[in-house]
Amino acid sequence: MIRDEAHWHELQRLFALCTELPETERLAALNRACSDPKLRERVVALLTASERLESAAHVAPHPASIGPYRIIRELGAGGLGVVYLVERLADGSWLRFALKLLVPSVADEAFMERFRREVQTLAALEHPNITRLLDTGWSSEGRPYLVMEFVDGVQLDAFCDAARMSIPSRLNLFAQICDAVSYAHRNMILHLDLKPSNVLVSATGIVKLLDFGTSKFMHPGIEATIATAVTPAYASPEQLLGRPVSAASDVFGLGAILFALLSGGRPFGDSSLVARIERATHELDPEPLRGTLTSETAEARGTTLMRLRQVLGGDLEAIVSKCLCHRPQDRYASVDALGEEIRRYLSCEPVLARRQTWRYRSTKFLRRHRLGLALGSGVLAAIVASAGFAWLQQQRALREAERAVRTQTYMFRLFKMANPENTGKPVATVPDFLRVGMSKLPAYIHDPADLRSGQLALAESMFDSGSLDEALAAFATIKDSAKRADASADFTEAEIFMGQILCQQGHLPEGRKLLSDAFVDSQAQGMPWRLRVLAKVYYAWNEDNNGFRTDENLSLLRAAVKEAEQHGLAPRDAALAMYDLAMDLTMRGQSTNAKPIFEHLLTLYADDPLALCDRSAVYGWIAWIDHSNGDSAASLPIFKKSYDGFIECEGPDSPGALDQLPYWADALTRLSRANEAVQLLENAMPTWRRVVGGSTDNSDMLMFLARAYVATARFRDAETTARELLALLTGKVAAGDRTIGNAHLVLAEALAGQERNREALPHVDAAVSILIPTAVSAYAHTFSDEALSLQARLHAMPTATD
Amino acid sequence: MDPLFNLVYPRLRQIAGALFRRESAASLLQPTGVVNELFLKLVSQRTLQFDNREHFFSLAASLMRRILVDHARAAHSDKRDGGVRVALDEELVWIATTPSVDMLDLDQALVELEQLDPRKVRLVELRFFLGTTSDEAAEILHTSKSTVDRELRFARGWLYDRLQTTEDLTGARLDPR
Repeated sequence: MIRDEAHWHELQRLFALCTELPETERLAALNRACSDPKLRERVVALLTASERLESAAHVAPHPASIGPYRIIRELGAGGLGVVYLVERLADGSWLRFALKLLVPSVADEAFMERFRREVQTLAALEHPNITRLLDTGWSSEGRPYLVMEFVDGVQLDAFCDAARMSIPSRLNLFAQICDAVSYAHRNMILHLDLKPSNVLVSATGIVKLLDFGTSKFMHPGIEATIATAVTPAYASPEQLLGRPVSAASDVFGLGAILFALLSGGRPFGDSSLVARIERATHELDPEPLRGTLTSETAEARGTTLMRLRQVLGGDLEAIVSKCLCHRPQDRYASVDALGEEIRRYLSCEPVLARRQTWRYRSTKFLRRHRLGLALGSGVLAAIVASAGFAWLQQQRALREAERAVRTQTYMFRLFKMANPENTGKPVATVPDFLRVGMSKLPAYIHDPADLRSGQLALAESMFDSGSLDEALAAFATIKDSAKRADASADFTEAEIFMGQILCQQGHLPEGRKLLSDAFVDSQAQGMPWRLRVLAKVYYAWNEDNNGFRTDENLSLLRAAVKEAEQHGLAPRDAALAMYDLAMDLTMRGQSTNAKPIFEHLLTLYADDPLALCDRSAVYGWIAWIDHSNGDSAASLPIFKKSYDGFIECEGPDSPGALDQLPYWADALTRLSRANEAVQLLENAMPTWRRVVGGSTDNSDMLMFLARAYVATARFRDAETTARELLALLTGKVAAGDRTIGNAHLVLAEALAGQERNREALPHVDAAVSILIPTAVSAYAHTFSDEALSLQARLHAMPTATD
Repeated sequence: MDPLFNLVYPRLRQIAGALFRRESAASLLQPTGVVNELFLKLVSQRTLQFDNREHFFSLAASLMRRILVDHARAAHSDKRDGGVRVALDEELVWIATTPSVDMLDLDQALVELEQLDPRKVRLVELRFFLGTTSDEAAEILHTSKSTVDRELRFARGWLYDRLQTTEDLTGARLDPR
């Protein structure tokens, strides 16, 4: 035999040459290309080996029968095992079934016990859209098998494509799948391998889910492993990373199915398992829903490519992304919630997923400034007085003179600690101050109940000043102590704030659970009215703004406002209820109802010197309501009040003040005072850059600066600014987010202004495709209209000037 | 020898030991399961700094091979029952027409291929032991998918030819089916 190394490159060249050709022409070509008969022989040997591999690769041996079932043919194979179409004689006739032969990695006693238990649960599943488990057994080699109802159907996506099914019809089918999965969840069974090939549609149009719960057989014991069972293209990050699975893992799988149904693609392309693990480890987002659309995709959905792009933007994109969030807690809380969302979409109601991308005035910002605590340093008196105010709220602590004296001593000590002139080692910031206060408190207050109420006051101040982690730890300590002492009011109060903090930090399931517990606990007899109101407000607000919007929440907020008034709560607590109610109304698009409440709040805050930040935030809301409803002229002085107030209470770097500028500038621009808008934003730009440090916070600064440049015909500056904005947002916000649409719009305007129409066209098209389907308010429509008219203008114009 | 290899290998051996003990009840290894679990452990070793992902993937792939071979060798000397068979799942069926191949034979064939063409061995390792797609392998090896497919077709033909020869020589059953 010849030695390959002597002819290695030649060997490969000839091999490649032959594989390019039809089999009949190979020998002749080989003879022409190579004169060495031994080398030719070697090429033929390799070709033969290769051919045998290609042709025989997928034929696996299978037995003639398993148990009483006769095998007809193989239906499919995967990590779980092989599925056969089988038949069995029953009452004189042959019936067909699907038989799944499992390949357990460990078939020990524990596995068998688990298998028996799971089978019992699975056999109890009876749902028209779930294939029934009919029988189980062990093959002669000791491998377990499951026998299921055989569905002579077509895979879901193929069925939809063949029927050229429209998007709404596909969503109707998808809602049925959600129902089936939800039914199984109620029976405590997860699917964990949801993918289009596990959903069949029968000839009569009935959806059938296959393989329920069988992936669980592959997890031996409780040890977390990556099951060989997962399908890389559709598995959730927690499954890939060997973390605990939950109903949210099925929400992810359903999201992947929805992705395929809508766009014809896969959320992670054709990645291998390792590539998916790598992506999951780096928490990388899935592919964009509209990334792989083709005209064939559109045709299979009975529409045009352009129309499909529009339809899949906005709500549907938001729904799919919410399902495919990396962290389970960021997805829909349940399959029911997802199904509801699909029905809301189908009945043209606004969907919840989109509301999360509501950009204006994030709630985080407002929460942070609720009590108007001066951040940073300098206003020491205000800091201490603020903590003192919280302290005074805890009236029990002041019942007796002795306690009052102790408290005074303590406060006095804190003053001294906070004042650099007295210590030499200044406590420079509110968080520092509160931390010191918390650690010194036990030295002054000995009674456990009083200690708890002091700790509550300090912890709430921590919360107000944004030290969330420290506040959370403090509340947890208080909650434990209150539980031991059976002090239900302190316990509930700690619950309320822990729930609020967890929600704010994005731990929704835990946060919502605590708030709901607190809400129930607060109904107990003898509970202070302040806690009843707080519990209602925080519970309803967080439910309403985390994807669980109901009218009941709004009623709760209204009830809280009423109770606060009736029971003479401190103005600050009453204000909290009103504030949340007004904010909620604004976000529901009822700003005309919200405005009088905001105005009333101003009178409440008027007497409170420490509420400067709150008052400024309220001015900001009122100004924004006026401006977005078309009364920009009225909004100008109010924006200024808000801005000046924030600077005074927070200092020159105030994010609250910066938050006012884009809309204030927009109001100026729309009033044909764009020069002033440019000046306003240009002056603040260095501060904004320093404060946000490259994040997308308040990126509207750039957007409205670019728009002001356009309005003053400074198109080159506008282009530079718009490009900076687009670069900042790309990859950080969802591709279909309105901020991206607005960025494209202003860039197109900047380019069109320089008569670079050809370059402007793709940007205006991108702007239209994002802004049109996502515009909900009249204010948002002004941007979409602008995009549409620019698009019409550009398409009508010759592009030869480029 | 790659310095990273020396750094990572002992740690991986440790992890693999525990995994294989769990697997030992079955005489058939499930490489994608085991190997990907190893890979996960590897990527989650945050203390390790890799110059680039290409390097990382190639290293991971060759580590996987090394570990499977070590395990097969150990099992071989223990049982003297003809060695450890490696199950071939969907993605890996191309390597042989038999449902499984002997890990040690395969390794020996790869050692020989390495002397002829190390790059093809890197490719085989990426596809076989790490289960990457052709696209991903192309990206890792800085080449095109068509080159990867062409080279892979040649490499697997060569390996299959080589493995058949081994089976013939050892008198084992040849089952091309």
